[in-house]
Amino acid sequence: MTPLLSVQGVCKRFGGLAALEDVSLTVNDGEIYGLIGPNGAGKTTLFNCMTGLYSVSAGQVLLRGTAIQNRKPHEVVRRGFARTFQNIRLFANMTALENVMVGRHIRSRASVLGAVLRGRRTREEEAAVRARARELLDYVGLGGKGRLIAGHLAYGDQRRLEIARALATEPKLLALDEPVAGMNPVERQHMRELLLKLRHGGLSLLLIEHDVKLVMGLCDRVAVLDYGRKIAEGDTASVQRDPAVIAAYLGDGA
Amino acid sequence: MDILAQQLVNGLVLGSIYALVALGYTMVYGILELINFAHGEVTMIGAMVALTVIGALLGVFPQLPGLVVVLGGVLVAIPACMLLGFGIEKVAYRPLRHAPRLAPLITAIGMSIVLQNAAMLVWGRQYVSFPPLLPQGRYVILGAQITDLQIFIVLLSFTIMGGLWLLVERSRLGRAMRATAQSREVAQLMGVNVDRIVSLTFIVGSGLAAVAGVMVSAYYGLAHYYMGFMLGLKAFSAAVLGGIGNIVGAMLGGLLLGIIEALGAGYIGDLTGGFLGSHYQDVFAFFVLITVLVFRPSGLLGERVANRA
Repeated sequence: MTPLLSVQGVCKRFGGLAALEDVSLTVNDGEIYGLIGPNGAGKTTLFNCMTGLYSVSAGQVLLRGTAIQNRKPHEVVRRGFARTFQNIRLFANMTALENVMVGRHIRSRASVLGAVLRGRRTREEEAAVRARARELLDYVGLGGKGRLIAGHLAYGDQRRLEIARALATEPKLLALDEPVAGMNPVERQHMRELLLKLRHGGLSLLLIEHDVKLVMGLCDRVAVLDYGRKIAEGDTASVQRDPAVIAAYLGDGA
Repeated sequence: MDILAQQLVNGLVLGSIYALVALGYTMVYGILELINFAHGEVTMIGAMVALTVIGALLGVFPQLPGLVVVLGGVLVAIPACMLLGFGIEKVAYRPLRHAPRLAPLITAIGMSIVLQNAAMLVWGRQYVSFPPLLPQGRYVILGAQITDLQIFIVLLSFTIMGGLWLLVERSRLGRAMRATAQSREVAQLMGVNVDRIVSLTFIVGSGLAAVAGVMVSAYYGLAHYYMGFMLGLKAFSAAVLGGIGNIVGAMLGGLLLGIIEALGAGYIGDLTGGFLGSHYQDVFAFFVLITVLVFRPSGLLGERVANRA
C-alpha cells in the first residue's frame, strides 16, 4: 500500500541559503513519527513546505501517492493533512467553538445565497457543523468552554483548541509543531494522553518536539534534522545512540 | 427645536447611506489592510448604471409604475457593481498582494481616477437628474418634515445592515471572513480558500455601494461622475470614526457622521454669527476625521492597532 506521506528529496532555498537539502521520509498509517533537531535545523520549514505555505525548490511531497507540494494550503487541507503551530495561532477574537467551526469550512458548503436566505439546508448544515465542533471540543477536553473567547483560554487549553480546530478538517495526517512547548509537567502528561488517544482513533501524527522524553516515549520512528539535512532516522533507541545525532546536539567535541 | 429635529432626521438619512458605503471600506480593510480608494467610484457607477437603466425603461415602457422602474435600475446596478468590485480587486490589488503596502494604495488611487474618467466619457460632464418616480409623501413629526423617500432609505439601509451582520456573524462564509481577517495564513491552513473570501468581500461591499449610490442620487435628485469622490472620503472618515476594520463600527460611524454633519450644517450659521453658511457642511466630516486620528486613532470600536502582532 502507498505510504500515507512520502517526502522525496525536498530542497528549500531562500536566496542562497539552503534551509532544506534533499530531505526524504515516509510516514505510515497509524504511526507517530517524530521530527527532531536543534533550533534552526529546518523542522518548521519542512512543515511549511508540506502544508503549502512554502513552495519547494526541488523534490516531491506525496500524500497517499498524490503530489501536494506547491499546492495552495487549503487544497492540502482538503486532501486530509492538517497542522498546528509552534507559536499558538488561534483566531483569538473568536470563541473557542467558532475556531473549531472554521475548521469545518471545507467540509461544508453553504453559499452566500444560502447564508442570506437561510434555507432549510443551510440551517441544517450549520447545526451539524456546530454539533460536530462541540463533539471535538469535548474530545480534546474543552467541553463546556466553547463560548469562551479563544484568546482568553489558559495556555494549555489554547494548545488543545488548536488541535480540535485541526481535527475539524477531518485529517488523515496531523502535523503538530511543538505541542507541549511551554507546558508544565501536568499539562504535558495530558497532552501525551490526548496524542495517544488520537492515534488510537486511527490518525497518523507527525510531531516536531524538543521534549526528548515525550518524543522517545511516544514516537514509533524518529528523523533527525541538522542544518537542513536528515542525519538519522529509525526507531527511538537506535537514533538516541547514533553518533551523528549526539554530535549535532552536543557539538563535535563531546 | 424644529431645526434640531429636522437636522437629526436629515443626519440619520445621510448617515445610513454613509454607513452602507463605509461598510465596503471597513470590510476590505479588515481582510487586506488596504484602503480601497476606488470604493467611492463604485458607488458613483452604481448610481450612473441605475439612472441609465431607469432612463431606458422609461423610454421603452412609459407606463410602468415609478417604483418598478427604480427597482429595475437597482437590480441592474447591484450586479454591475459587484462585477466591477470583483474586477478591481483582480486587476489592481491581487497582483500586489505581497508588495509593500504603499503599492496597492497607489493603484487604488489610480483605479479611482480611471473610473472617474471612464464615467465622464460614458455619461458626460453634466449632472444626470433622477426622475421624480418615487412617492413624494411628506409628514411632520415633532416639528420635523419627513419624506417617504427618507423613511424608505433608512428602513432599507437598516435592513441591509442587519442582513450583513447576520452574514458575517452567523454564517459559514462570515466565519471564514472573520478568520481570514484575523490571519490570512492560518485561515488558509485551516482550509479556507482565502482568494475566494477576498473576492467575496469585494463583491458584497460593492453590492452595498450600488444600493448606496442609488439612494444618494435619489435623495439629492442627481448624479455626477465626480460624486463618488466626496462620498467616498466621507464614508472613509465614517469607517475610521467607527474603527476601521470593525463592521459594527462602520455602521455606527456612518450614522454618527451623518448626524454630526447635519447638526453642524444646521447650526454653523448661528454659531459663527452668519459668517459661515451651511455649505460648509463638508468641513465637519474631515474635522471629525482629524479629531479621531489625533485622539483615538483606533476609532470608537476599533482595537488598538498594536494588538495585531
